[in-house]
Amino acid sequence: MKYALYLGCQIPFLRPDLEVAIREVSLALGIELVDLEGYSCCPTWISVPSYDIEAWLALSARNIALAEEKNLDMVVGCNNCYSVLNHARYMLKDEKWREKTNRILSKVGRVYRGSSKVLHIIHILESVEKKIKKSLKYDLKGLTVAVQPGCHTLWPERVMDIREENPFYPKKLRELVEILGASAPHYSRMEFCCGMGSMKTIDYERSLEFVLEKLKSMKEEIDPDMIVTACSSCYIQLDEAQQKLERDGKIDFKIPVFYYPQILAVCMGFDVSKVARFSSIPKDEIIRRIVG
Amino acid sequence: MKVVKLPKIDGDPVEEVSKFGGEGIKKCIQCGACMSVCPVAMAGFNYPNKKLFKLIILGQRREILYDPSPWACVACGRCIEVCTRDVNPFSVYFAFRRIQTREFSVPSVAEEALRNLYETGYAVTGNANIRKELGLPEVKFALNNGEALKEIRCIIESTEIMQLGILPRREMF
Repeated sequence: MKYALYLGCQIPFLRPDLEVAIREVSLALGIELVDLEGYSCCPTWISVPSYDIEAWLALSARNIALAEEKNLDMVVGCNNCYSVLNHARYMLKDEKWREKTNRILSKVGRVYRGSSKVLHIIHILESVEKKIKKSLKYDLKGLTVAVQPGCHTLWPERVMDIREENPFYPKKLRELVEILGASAPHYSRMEFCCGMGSMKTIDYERSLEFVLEKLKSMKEEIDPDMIVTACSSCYIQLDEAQQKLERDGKIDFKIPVFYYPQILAVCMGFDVSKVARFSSIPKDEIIRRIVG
Repeated sequence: MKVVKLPKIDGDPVEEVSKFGGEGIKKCIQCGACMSVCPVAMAGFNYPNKKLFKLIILGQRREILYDPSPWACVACGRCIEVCTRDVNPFSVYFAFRRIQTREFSVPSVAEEALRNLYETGYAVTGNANIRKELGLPEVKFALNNGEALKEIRCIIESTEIMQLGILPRREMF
C-alpha cells in the first residue's frame, strides 16, 4: 500500500488540519504516502483549463508524470484535483493530445506515459475497511450523519477508474460513515451540488442558495448531528456558508461539518486540536459527545 | 413552415467552439437533458448550457460574448452523464470560456488565478506558518523549488496563453 501523495493547494494552504488527518490515519492504517516534489496546481478549473487545453494537459500531465517517475499511483484529497487530473488522463488517451502534450513536456525533460492512476483518499480508505473497524477508539453510535459525497468523484464516470454503482444514488461514503457506527440515511438533496467552485467566486449569493437547499432538505428529512463530506471544497463551503445564512436569518440551526478523514481521525483518537483545528461552525460539543 | 434566416455576422461560432474543444456541439438536438441537471441553470444564470448552445448554433456570438454564465459552471460533470447525444456540454462551456479569454471577456478572479499560477505555481496560496505549528512537514511545492517553477513557466510559455495579454513576458534563462 504505497501511493504518491498529491495535496493540491486548498488543503495545505487553507485547511492544513485536513492534511494532518489524512497523514495520521494513513500512517496508522498502513498506507504509505510518498510526498511528490515540485508539483504544481492541478491546475484548477478556473485557472489554466479555462484558457487553453494544451497548457492544461501539459501541467496536469507533468504532475502525474511526477508520480509515474516513482512508479506509484497518485492519491489526492481534493475533489477538484481529482476531477481535473482525471479529465486530463481521459483526454490524454487520445493519441493527438498525448503527442502535443509530450512535445511540450520534452522541453522540461518530462514525459507522460499514462501509467499512474489518480485516486481519491476515500477510495484508499474504502480498501482498508476491515482495518478501520479494528482501529476505532471511539465510534459514532446513536448519531445521524448527513453525507455529502461531492460532485467530482461521481461524474462523469467515463474519466474515473473507481465508480459508484449508480452515481445518482451514491453509496460509498454512506458505507464508510456507517463503519464508524453512525446511521447515514439518504436524503433527497444528497447528491446536489454545494455551489462551490467558480460559481462561488462569480456570484456568492447564488452559490449560497445551494447550501440552503441542502441544509433544509437534510434538516427536515433526517435531522443530522453532523455533516460528513469527502470533498475539501464542499467542506469549506458548507462550513462557512452556514454562518452567513444564519446572519441573514435564513437558518436558525447549525450543523457541524467534517471531512471524512477528519472524523475518522477523531474516532481513531488522534489529537483533536490538530486534526480539527479550523472551523466556522464549532465542533467542540459534537466531539465531546464522541470522545466523552 | 416559416424559416427565419439570421445573418451570421461573426463567422461561424460552431466551428470556433469546435476548435477550442467543444466539437460535440454539432450533435446537440436541444433536448434539454443537460439543463435539467445543471447548477448554472438552477442558480438562474442567463445562459445555461442548452440556451448557450442554441445561440452559438444560431450564430449569435455577440449576444453571449460578455456574459458570465459559462464561468459559473462548477465542472460537476452531470451533463456529460445525462446527455442523450454525447455532446459533452461541459466541454462546450469551457470552449466558450476559452473564446471569451481571447476577447478580453475574463472575470477578474480567473485572471488572478492564472497570474497566481504563473508566479507561484498555484492558483490558491496562503499562510504556511500554521503548518509548522501543526507539526506538518514542509510541502515540496513548486513554490519553494526554483527548478520546478521554471518548468511550469516554460510549459505555460510554450502555449497560446502568452498571447492573451494577461501574463507578463519574462526573459527566459
